[in-house]
Order: sequence, then C-alpha cells, then structure tokens
Amino acid sequence: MHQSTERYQRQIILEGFGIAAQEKLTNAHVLVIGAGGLGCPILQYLAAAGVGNLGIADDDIVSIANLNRQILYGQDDIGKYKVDVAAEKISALNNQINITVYNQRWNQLLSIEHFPKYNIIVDATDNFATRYLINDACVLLNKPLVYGAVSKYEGQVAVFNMSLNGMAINYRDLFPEPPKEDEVQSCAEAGVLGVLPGIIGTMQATEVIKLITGIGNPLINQLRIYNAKKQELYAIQLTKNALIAKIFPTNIPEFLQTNYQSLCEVNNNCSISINDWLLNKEKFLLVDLRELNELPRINQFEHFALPLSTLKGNWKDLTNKDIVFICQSGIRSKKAAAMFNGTDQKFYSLLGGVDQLVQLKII
Amino acid sequence: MHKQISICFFGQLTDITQCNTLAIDNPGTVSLLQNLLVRQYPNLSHSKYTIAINNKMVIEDQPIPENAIIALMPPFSGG
Repeated sequence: MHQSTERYQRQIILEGFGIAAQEKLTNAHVLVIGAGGLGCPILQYLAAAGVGNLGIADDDIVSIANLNRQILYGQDDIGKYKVDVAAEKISALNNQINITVYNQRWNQLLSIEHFPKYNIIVDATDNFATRYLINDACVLLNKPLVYGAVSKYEGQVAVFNMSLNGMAINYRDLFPEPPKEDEVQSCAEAGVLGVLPGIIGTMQATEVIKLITGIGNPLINQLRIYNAKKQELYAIQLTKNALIAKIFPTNIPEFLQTNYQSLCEVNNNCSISINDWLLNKEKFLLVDLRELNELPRINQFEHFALPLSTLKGNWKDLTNKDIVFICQSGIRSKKAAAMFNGTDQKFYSLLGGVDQLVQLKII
Repeated sequence: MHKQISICFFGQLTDITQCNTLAIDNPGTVSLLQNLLVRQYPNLSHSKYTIAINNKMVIEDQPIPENAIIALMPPFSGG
C-alpha cells in the first residue's frame, strides 16, 4: 500500500469516504485564524486527516497560562510565536501538509488578500472585533466560515455563509452587532475549562472535513451550544435577520473603512497606560478590583485591595488623590472608572491590568 | 393550573439569573417575556442575546406557544 494511502487507511475504508474523499482533503486549502484553545485541536486534526494546505494565523506568543488548553504547546515553547511552534508540530505530525503561517493580528487587508486562496475559513479567534471582521470578509468574498467560540463551560459551533434551501446565514444574523468589551467577559476574565475548546475545536474540524468531502450534514444555518457540565448539546435552527442589511459593510471599500476595534470599545477617556502611571505613581491611589483569590497579588506597589463586588462610593474618606483601578486584564477597571467618574475626583483604568504588568515583568 | 413555559439561559446570562432554567406562566409574546425578565433580572437589559422558541431562532415579536421551551443565547468571544 502507498505510504500516504496507508496513513489514511482508517478513514478511507469508511463507507462513503474512500480515495475520492481523501483526494478532496489533499487538494483543500483551509485557513485557521487563531492558534489558541480552538486552533490547536483544529490544526492537529486537519493535519492528521490529510487536509493538504493549511494556513495558520496568530500574532501571539505562548505563555504558561495557555498550556491548560492550547495542546500544541509545551513548557519549552513559552515565549515563542504560536504560529512557529504550531507549524513545527504540525509538520512533525504530517510532513505532507503545505503550511503557510501569518504571524500577524488578522485585519481587513489580510482578509482581502488571502481569503480568495482558501476554500474554507475557520474562526478560532478569541475576541469579538476579529470575529465580526472575519464574518464580514467571508460574506463579501463568499467564503464558507466554520465558527466556534467558548465561555467558561459552554461552547458554540456553526457553519456560516453556505447556502442551503436558498438561505445563507452569517454570524451577524445571529448576533447583529458586537457587544462592547465590558458586556461579555473573555476567557481571561471569565475562565474556561481546558477541555472545552478541545471539544468545540474538534467539532469545528469535523465540520471542515464534512464540508470538504461532502459527507454527512454540515451545520449549515444551524447553531449548536454545548454544555460541558451537563454534557448536553442544544440545537438551534437559525434564520435570516433582515435588519442587518443596514449595519453590514456592503462593499470592500466600506469594509476596509470599518474600525472593528472601536465597535467593541467602551467610549470613555479614563484609561491610563502603565508607563504614565509608573511615572506619576505618587499622584494616584492604586485600587486592585480583583477578587481576593485572583493571582498574582500585587506586592510591589502600595495599593488597596477592594474587590469590585464590594465597591462603595465613599472615595473621599479613603483619599483625596485621583484613583487608578487595576484588575486582571483591564476590563473591570474600565467599567469601574466609567462608573465613578463624574465627581471632582478622577478615576482611571490601568490599561492591560495585572496581565500586562506580568508580561512586562513589572510584577 | 396555569400554562407554563420553560426558559433556558446560556453562557454568562446565568451569572445574572443565577439559574440555567426557569419555569414561568406564559406571558403571551416574546416582548412581554422580555419585559418580565428585565423586571426580574434588571442586568439582563445590558446583555446582548438572541432568542429561540422551540429550537428555532426568532427575530421579531411573536406569540409564544403553550409549553414552549425558550432559549436566551448570548454571544461568546473565547477561543
């Protein structure tokens, strides 16, 4: 038996699969945006299954907090670019795969330039700005989008922008406008069970393989919500939302002009950068809004630990200084600053929070 | 005996409701249900979510059938 046929023998012998489906996989081009919790298992299974051409996009580096769920990476990879490690691991798994890496934060220009080269786009990102950007690009460039997202113990998976019964649903039909940053907590804020992106990512890889080979019923115009605590899968039939026509970029120039980041930003100007705060530290009182079990604690700087859940408004009793709020990633602190500003005392949110202080080796 | 409906809350909506499911008397329509839920859980008015009735997503206000299962689905960002 030919070596490559032998490699895929267990799936080739499946009824309805055969050499024909395997050849479709070999010839397919799939772009996975995000090489994190979802991206790792997606890339592994697509490479193992013999998807011939894989694009991997991510601009992040491996950190120790990634390792509970981002299973392509090990302790020795901390500090390396995710795309480089992922490409190396994928090649070691299957050297017959052509890999293209994009070591960049995904943006509109990259979408316009590279989406036409791929048959399927996979959304494995971790933020709303990029999710809406990718969705809109897929609609404008007519690309199937395999969507997955996780939060705490739950995950969502769907296939968007594929026509079935004359209807092609996209992400905006389901959620027309991006939530603001402080409306929905990210994994960094809310936490995520390590195996959960493994399950959802594997479901996304399954959908990619089904779409390429034509096997089974892909989740076109369907949403599945998985609950790990209950091992339940909730099925939703999606429908077209006529109201989104007004908010959708209708052509490529309009798409390029859309500022996706600002769609998700909370409008206020009460943020302070770590540099500005460090330079003027004595002018401010630092208040740590995290719950007392959130780590690492701040030992290097004088501060008050007042968890957001216990906050009251009696700031004048505490200090006449302006106040700098800090939390884990800068989301709760932004919310608190917006909440208290308006009195004669000024309230700021420290950009990037404790995560950024750790990253910069300040604490 | 009132005719009841069940409501399933997903994702971080359960942080607001402190429950995954809720059985209530059928308020009649989607908008009446939303008003009722916001009275019970004021923070829901700050949350984005999409509604499904009996596993079908709904866009516009419409009557809620007896014994319906309603899902409130928020967007997730994590990856």
